[in-house]
Amino acid sequence: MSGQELRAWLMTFVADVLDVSPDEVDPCAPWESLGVDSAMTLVLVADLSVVLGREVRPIEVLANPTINAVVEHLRAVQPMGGR
Amino acid sequence: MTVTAHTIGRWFVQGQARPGRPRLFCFPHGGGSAAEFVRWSRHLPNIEISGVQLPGRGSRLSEPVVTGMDELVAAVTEVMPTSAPYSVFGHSLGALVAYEVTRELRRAGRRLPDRLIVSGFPAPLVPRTEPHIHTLPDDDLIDEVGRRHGGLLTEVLADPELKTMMARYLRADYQILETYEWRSDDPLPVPVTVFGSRDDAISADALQAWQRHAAQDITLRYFPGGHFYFRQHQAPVLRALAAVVRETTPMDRAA
Repeated sequence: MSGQELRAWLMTFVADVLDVSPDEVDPCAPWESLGVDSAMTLVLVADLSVVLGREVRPIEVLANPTINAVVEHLRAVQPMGGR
Repeated sequence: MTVTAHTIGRWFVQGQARPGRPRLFCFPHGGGSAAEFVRWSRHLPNIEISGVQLPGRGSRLSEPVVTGMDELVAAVTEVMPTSAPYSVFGHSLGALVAYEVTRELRRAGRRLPDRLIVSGFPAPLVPRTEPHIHTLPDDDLIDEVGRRHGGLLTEVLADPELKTMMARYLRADYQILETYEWRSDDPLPVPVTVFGSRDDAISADALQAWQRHAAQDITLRYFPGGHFYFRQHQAPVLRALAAVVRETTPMDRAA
């Protein structure tokens, strides 16, 4: 999964939470403004671990405050395709 | 003065923008997050939700936690925008904080909320008898909060990093609660609505006692479910919340 695909996946996850369309989700917004708290993060990492085929820990999301920051973090620890 | 999102950014997390609609500031329960109120926003088309985010969690994870009520209330009220019509909601610890913030706004001669909605918490003057838990080790602290209220996931305890992160702000929130002492004061000149659940451990008397903090008759609404009744039956609770805010007559209470 490329960084761009990962960003799109995360935006779609949040869009489902907020019942908006994915293009309304700001990848630079802090998680809490997207309705994602620690409980929601547990759901997110469970799904994301399946999609990426490796365990994603909750702290990897919670310690990176935005969608873009998580994408950058995951790209850094596990090189992916182009943006 | 227009308060921009930037100047209130750290403390207040906006739901969907609803220009011209009354704003509802929402204070979370102990260990809670503003994110939950952002998720409410789509169900409340006539209210602009503003969830309060305390330091030490979410995007404020790296900030020092606040451990005392006076410090918290002073910090929130300093940046809380009160020029436009607004109401205040708080659940559990958030109800106590919302009450103290309203008292502080009165002391400061600021515009008061059109309504104070308190949920799932005894009236502040009711002595609290639970043993203190904010000094317990992380595992015991999280266990005990789960035992009292539910609402914490067993997955949290299974993940050491998440447990450490959450215990830090949960402990801070319980320290705020357990070091709090109610100081006598005149009843608030603000309409007060109390939300609660008969399935919660809080007695009806303890909820009814909010009357002693209000100059007008309070309204008491019960919902089925436990301490987190609004998660079990979200739609009727949010409909009731919308109705309460809608029925609130905006009045100019500016000093």
